[in-house]
Amino acid sequence: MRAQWAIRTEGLTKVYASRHQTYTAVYNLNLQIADGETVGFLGANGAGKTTTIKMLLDFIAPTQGRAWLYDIPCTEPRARRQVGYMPEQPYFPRYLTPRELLHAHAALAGVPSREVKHRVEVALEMARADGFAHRPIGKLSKGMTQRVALAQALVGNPQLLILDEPASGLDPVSRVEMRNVLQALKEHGKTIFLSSHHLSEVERICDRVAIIHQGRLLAFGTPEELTQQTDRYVLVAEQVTTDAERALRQLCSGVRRDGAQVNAVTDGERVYEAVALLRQTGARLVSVIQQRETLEEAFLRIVQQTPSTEFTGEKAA
Amino acid sequence: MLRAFFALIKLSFLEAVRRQILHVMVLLSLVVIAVAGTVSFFDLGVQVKIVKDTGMVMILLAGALSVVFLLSGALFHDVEQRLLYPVLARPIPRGLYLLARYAGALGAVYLGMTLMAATLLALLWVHLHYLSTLAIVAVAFTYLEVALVGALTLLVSTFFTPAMTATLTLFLYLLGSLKMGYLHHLAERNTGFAKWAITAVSALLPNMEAFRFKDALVHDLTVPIGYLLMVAVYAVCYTAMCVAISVWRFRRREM
Ligand SMILES: Nc1ncnc2c1ncn2[C@@H]1O[C@H](COP(=O)(O)OP(=O)(O)OP(=O)(O)O)[C@@H](O)[C@H]1O
Ligand SMILES: [Mg+2]
Repeated sequence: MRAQWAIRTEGLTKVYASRHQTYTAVYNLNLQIADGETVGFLGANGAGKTTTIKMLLDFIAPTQGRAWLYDIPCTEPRARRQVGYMPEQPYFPRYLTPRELLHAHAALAGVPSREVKHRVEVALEMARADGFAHRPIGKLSKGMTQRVALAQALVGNPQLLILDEPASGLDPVSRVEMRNVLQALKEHGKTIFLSSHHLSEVERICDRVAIIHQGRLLAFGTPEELTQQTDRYVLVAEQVTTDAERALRQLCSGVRRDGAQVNAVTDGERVYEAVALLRQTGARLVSVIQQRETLEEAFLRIVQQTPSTEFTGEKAA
Repeated sequence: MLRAFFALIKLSFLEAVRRQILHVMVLLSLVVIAVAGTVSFFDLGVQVKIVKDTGMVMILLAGALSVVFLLSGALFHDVEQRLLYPVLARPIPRGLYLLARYAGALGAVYLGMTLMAATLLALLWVHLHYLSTLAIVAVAFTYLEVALVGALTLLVSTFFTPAMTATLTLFLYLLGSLKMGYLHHLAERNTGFAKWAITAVSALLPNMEAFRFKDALVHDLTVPIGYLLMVAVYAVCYTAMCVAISVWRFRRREM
């Protein structure tokens, strides 16, 4: 039976200490991520995302607190048996080809010998890295290397994917491809934990979103839970005369004619006036929709509401 | 686990055999050995002595220097260039990684040493039409010596940067070669704490002189088998100790 939580942390804290200063990169982080969930880990630069991931993979030891992957303490190598990891800014030996690299990683991941060849080809194809699988990695572009890194993460057919900014350095087309791959993995019941700045991407595929700011977890919930309704209404109308359009501009922002339709945006106070105006001038109202925050707006709101608590301490003598 | 270990050794080996320093060392030594073996001297006895002497020195020198240069920066660069992250995210203990890193680099150096040794033994065969056991034993012990130097480099590299590691290891190696003659003498002439400190330091330093069978080979002396065994056990223990401490250091490292 598989454990309930793919990732679980309790009071996870990391304090970096240099000679004169201490810096709290992650503070008292409590996360519970269920098996099969796709979770986005959002935070500004330096928020502590990579530090958290490094603790999960036992690259660095937590100053306090503990973490488990599938109920196995992170400090044990076997906790990583189910893990496929894609580092932020991945580097691999330059002289190896992606195919050679994946063969090595299949062995490291414990893929049985007779399945290696098959697994390597499947992973290369999934990550769309099969087109350049025979070229030395040192000669690949950044985006290509990123795909090799994804293939490398997938080669062991892991149940848990830990991806540190998987879309960084990708062009819009590749980013969509990356999203489609993640979507497919999600449909196969894989657990995905990805850090990102691309909030619209995250919003599309993640079941839940964790927002970290200055090392503290500020919010953790579904995108619906985190976003609020806004005081913004979008009106769509037809048969709007030029006079009516001019009048509408007094009440609304972003009035735009789109073929036969006119779009306008206004707030709760003026939405009734605008509707009345349209009625009076004989226009036909197609829809009035109250807008919801985008995840980006929710993120900014949540982060800005929080007073700065940056933890830089002088070290006690 | 074993397959993972071999995959790691292969990666480390492939990295090491590509290094220019190894190519240069091996080529240079091969040229010197070949010249010593083919240029005619006055008589065969002298020629054979010169071939043995140069050959042994070159194998040891090239082997030891290569292993120091390959291993002094290995861990540092793996961390610095972030090559380590994808590997350490695999379900393998860090110690295994370190062991494989050591074994792979050593394997590459051994490959080079084997080329030199084969050349040396072939030249001796050409001149003498037979191979003494001692010639093979002497070569085998340079392999052990290089393994020990590699382990020492690895250990030092868990404390220092590459340049510092290479310098310090070579310094320790030199001290280890002086050990018996010089340090003993020094200990005898001091008293109290100084004597104690010198004795302690000389006990910790690797005894490199123990591996030198070159003179025995050149002068056709015999070496008792018991002594050979003792030296072999010493080499294995010292090497194992260095690697064990390196593993312990590396496991606690923040990546
Ligand atoms: N080895 C280290 N020593 C000291 N401070 C560190 C170290 N590594 C990270 N930090 C600090 O910890 C904080 C969090 O860093 P982290 O790399 O986790 O951020 P991040 O959320 O991944 O940011 P980004 O989006 O830029 O990748 C930063 O302020 C960083 O300067
Ligand atoms: Mg980061």
